[in-house]
Amino acid sequence: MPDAVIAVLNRLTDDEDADAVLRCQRGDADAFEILVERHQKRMLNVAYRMLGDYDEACDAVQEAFLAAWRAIRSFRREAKFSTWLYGIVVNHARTRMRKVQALSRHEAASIDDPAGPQGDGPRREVPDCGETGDERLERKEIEARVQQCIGTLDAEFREVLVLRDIQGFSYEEIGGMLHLPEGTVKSRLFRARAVLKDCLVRVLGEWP
Amino acid sequence: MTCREMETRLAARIDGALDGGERERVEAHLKACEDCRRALAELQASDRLLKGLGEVEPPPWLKTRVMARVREEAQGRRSVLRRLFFPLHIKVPIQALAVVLVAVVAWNVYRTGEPEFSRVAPPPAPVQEAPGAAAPAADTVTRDERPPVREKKAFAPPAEQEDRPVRKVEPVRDAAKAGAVASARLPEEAPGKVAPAKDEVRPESGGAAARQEAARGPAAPEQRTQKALTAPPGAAAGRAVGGEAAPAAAPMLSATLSTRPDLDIIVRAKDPPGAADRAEEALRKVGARSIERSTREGRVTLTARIRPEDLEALRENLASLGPLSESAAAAPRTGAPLAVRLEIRSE
Repeated sequence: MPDAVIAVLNRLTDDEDADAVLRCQRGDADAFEILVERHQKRMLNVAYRMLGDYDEACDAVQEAFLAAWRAIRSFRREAKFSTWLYGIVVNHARTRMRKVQALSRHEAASIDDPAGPQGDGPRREVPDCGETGDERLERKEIEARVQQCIGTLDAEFREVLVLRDIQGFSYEEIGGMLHLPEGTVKSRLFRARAVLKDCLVRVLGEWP
Repeated sequence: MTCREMETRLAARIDGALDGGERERVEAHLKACEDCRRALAELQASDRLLKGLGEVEPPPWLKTRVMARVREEAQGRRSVLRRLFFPLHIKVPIQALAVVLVAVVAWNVYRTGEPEFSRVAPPPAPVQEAPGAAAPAADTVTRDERPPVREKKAFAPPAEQEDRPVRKVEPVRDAAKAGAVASARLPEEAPGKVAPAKDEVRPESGGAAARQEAARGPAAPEQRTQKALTAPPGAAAGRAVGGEAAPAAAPMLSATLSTRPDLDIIVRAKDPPGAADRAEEALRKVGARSIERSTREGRVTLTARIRPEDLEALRENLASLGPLSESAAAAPRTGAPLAVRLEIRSE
């Protein structure tokens, strides 16, 4: 049996979504509800970490699901359905991110400003406690700083960081979602980690 | 290896993405470089922070909204075909259009196939005549034998037939004047074949028809294929209106032509309409009666009744028009008038 056929069969048997996807491709909307239920949380977290805004993330996920439903007949099972689906949500989040950046470009200051977290940085969704220092920051506040730093990354770095270090996708899966070779995914990721670390050092002060 | 070169390698090291040789070089550098050890510690702490980020929960309305829109679109996708064929506001016009289309096609087929239909149509039944009808030897004329006319006639209600005096040519006035002569000369035809009273043409209506025909003139010969002629249009009109009687010497022939001619004469001429005029004149010269003229597809057909003794004179007159060919349907009765059909064809 040719390797390609074996690979497709393996993907079909490994893909827990295969049955529901098949039903969706026959027009069964109820089967799509199974997929929504199964993937909405992770998709929302991908979008949320990329956008840093809960409502924007919800909108991006809605759009992604609708786009997936409209295009599900064209899904050829060359990859896992989840890979295809998360690729769609990353695209929608990226589009929204660029719109938001374009709108706030002239207002928002860089996180690199000397003012730091208490200055005029892009903290629209991040509450500023007005204090620095490891012991005094609550967990949520630290998370807000991390999210703030993620927001400083360019989209191409941000998405690989979110997908790998937060969501734990493999390099292969990320390459499938973003249509990038693994080497490119890795180089972007390592660069993103280094930039994020520098940002966190600045934001969190004496750290770790 | 410099500290700057170490930057991305340290980022790769935290999830074991370095291969053997590179990993050894990185480890060697780390042992010797305080700054890089600190950078590695920061990267590892950063990684822990990322992995420790809490997850957000989707709002309950997210799935509801997504599925509402998905179901709406699924319904729309299914109903596209339904919208095309099922609602009455689409279905009824489509069906109406189809009916009209079928009717138009059927009409066209009928129109184009009419000559073929007429060719295979059976000969008409003889005209019902009331024996002993009151009108004495009315010189009515039967319709041309051409099949399309018969078909039209067959569909027409009897009342309509009665109301069409234009089909009759000879005014009753002529017939009345010559009636006695006809009954005297041709006793064998007069009693039985006299047209019934209902088929008689009143002088007024016959005259009016003749006037109409005269007014139209020869401009559209095809349109008057059903109209019998006993004279050129002008003469016919004048006679009908002015009451000029037929020559008294002309023998009164049968009131009704038989549906099949006794003799078919085909004349091939260069100019069929002109030749037809001269043929008509020739018929009139030999005292023919009940002359009818019709034109169809470039052929002019004249039907008339002549006395058998005038046949030879007619042949001589027609010979000047072009080559003749004759075919006799049946042997004529002795002394009985001959029903002659002249067909003038283009050479």
